[in-house]
Amino acid sequence: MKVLRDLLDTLSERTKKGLFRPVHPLVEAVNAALFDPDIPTDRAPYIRDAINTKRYVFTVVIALMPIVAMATWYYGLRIPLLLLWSYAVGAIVESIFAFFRKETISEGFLVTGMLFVLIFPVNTPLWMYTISIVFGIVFGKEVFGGVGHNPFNPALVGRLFALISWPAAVSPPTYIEPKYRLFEFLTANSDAVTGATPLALMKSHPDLASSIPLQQLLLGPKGGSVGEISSVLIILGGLYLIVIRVVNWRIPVAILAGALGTAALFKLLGPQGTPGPVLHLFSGGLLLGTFFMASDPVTSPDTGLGKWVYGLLTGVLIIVIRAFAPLVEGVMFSIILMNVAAPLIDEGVRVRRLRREARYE
Amino acid sequence: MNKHLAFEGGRAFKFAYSPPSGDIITVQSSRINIPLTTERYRFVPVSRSQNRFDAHEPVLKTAGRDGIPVCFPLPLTFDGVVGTTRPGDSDILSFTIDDTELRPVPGDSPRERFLRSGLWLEIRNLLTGRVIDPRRSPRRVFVATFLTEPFTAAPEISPGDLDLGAGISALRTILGDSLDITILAPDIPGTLGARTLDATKGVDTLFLPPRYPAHDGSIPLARRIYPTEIRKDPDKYWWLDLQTLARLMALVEPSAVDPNIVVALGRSSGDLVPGHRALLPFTPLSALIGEDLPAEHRVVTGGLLTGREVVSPNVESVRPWDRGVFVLANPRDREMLHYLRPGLSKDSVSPTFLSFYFPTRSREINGGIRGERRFCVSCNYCEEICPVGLDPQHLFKLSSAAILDEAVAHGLPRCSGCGLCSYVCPSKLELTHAITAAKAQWLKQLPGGPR
Repeated sequence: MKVLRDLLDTLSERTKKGLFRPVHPLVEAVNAALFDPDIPTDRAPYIRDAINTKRYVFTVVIALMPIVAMATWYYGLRIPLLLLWSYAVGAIVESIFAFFRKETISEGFLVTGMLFVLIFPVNTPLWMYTISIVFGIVFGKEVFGGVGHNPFNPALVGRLFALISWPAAVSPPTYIEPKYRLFEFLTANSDAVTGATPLALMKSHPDLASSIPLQQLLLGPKGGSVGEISSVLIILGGLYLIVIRVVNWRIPVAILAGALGTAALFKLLGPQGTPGPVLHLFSGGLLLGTFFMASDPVTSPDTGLGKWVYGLLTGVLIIVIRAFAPLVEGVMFSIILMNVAAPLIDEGVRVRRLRREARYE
Repeated sequence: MNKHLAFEGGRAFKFAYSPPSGDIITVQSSRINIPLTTERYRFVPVSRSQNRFDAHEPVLKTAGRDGIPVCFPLPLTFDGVVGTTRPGDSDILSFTIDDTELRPVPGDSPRERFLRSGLWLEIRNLLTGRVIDPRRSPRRVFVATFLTEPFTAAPEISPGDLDLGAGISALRTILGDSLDITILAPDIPGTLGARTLDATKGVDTLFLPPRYPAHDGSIPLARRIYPTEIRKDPDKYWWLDLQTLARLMALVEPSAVDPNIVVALGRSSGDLVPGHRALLPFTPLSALIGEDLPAEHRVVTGGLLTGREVVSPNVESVRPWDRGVFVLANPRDREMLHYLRPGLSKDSVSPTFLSFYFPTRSREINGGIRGERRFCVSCNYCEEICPVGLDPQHLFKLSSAAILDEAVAHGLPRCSGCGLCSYVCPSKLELTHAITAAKAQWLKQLPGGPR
């Protein structure tokens, strides 16, 4: 450990200026990833909570890991390799920006990079995937000033870009059927057995969708984007994040309430065969988006009441888009739309607070 | 009625009390330094011609037409004006302590003794944290029974040995018979006998949830009652702790009360045995922490949350209003992969660390992880922990941008400077510092300035 520490110190010192300056942010990132800073508190409060953004981010990675593991089981070695590729591309883009901003690389990409793997179908060509990542990071986050300033979830921006550019590849009518392939390697144009996702069925053949057994909806494996493979793992990961208070419980609860309520209403008022709330809940990206994307603290409202409003509207929008728009999935659009609205919602809540505060005077 | 308070170990008692920041009166073993203007007070010298002051003779008075005299229980000699520590600060008056033995407060009536004792400097306005006007009569006094935080399970000495019933009658003798009193107690079954006080006329007990590492009883309280009762006349609600109460009792019945104060001792490394210790005010710090403090160690008096770093621990003394003395080691080793550890002894309120589930285990204070400053990630931890119900992250943004009007509209005056928001921030932002600085600026603009 001492050797490692000394090595990093030397590297950090050597890369501060000169030819190797471009790798300095990377060295610092490794340094920060491995070791805690030793900067003492110089003003009250003299103690600080041991939590930092690294731990905060890492808990989300831990919550996502079972999903990645299950996806690897069913889609094969392409998944871990995609993950490594995603992290590599992310690290390069982040270091370029860190270099010009003279900042250190932020750990936020650990989650974003993982989400990129989970929100694309497994057979997306690598080049589309790479361009989407670069677009997502640059235009979803970096142009706004980096982590903490991003109005949108970078992963969703990348996915939105891909959907608009290559709709057939990113949101195909059929998906590769998940089956045990742990030691196989799928390529982008594999001729694996394909099938429609529950969500696609819901749109085209509602009667077929209703016949999918609940057990498969809940446990999986389900086709679609990689991360949609198992609802149970997503729910467990989400509950873990709520229990350790990394995700504020208000947002998932509000989204699920909004989505299920709207779906139930449509089922009641709609024609025969309209998909019900259970089918909506367990198909598509609703759960993944609810627990891992809409609840991102940076892009959601800061205020408690704002979180309720944001969540409810997101939930309602998801079902409305699924039901009425020509699109199959509404999660991504709803979350991005509500991300835009988040500052406005906050402003509204704060104006309300100001009135309450004025009563104190 | 004469129930004694007893405390046991556990989460509830990890509280550190100290007066609000901005109070930088320092007491050295042979000298007292008093700045003429702080965030809380503005003083003027009583007389420039006189150099020797007897114990309890007014040394200074608060600024304004009818200044309140400030006295100390020790004979003092005025030395002169020493240099200021911060640019823009006012003069610091330096006094030599002629004799460190505390003198009983003279005066015919308890009220007069109260005014002359200087003890009112330890009593705070419940809401603003500013010093109270001792000549006014409060409507209600809140007595906090929380203990200071030594970062150890069971304190050896309990200031709760105080006879609370006698304390209440002493308060009424001094401040008027019709005074309402609220006892603030931690909400833990079996730890406080004060429930029996409910029946006493004019005495309420308010049980407050234990909140690690919340630092005093007034803070969680403000959120509860601010909107209803107090806003009509905020100056009439005073807050004090058990130790101040004990010393107020001494004004009524000088012989019955122990002159000692109880100070929490804590350390992150070194030989100091953590725990509570009873000692006389003005005891030199070196008697507590030893003469030869290792290099890179710092001493913090007050509390860890709102205290002050002692510049020269070898010459300073325990001030009468200090409730804790802590020795902090600067982190020398950079801990490897700290964010992956289970964290059974990590100092944290976050459920991501195991220490959350084992609240009685003692925690390490490493006092050093200020680095890694990031942008605010809007995690809302600060808003959740803020005891007065503010939105610290928004106030921080407004304060940093010096938009005072809007910050005041969003409740800046209610900030009690407790430091909890900075404590919990995962991005390690200096929220408290920015907000209290903005508040100090706002207080300066007020007509009359700090009292």
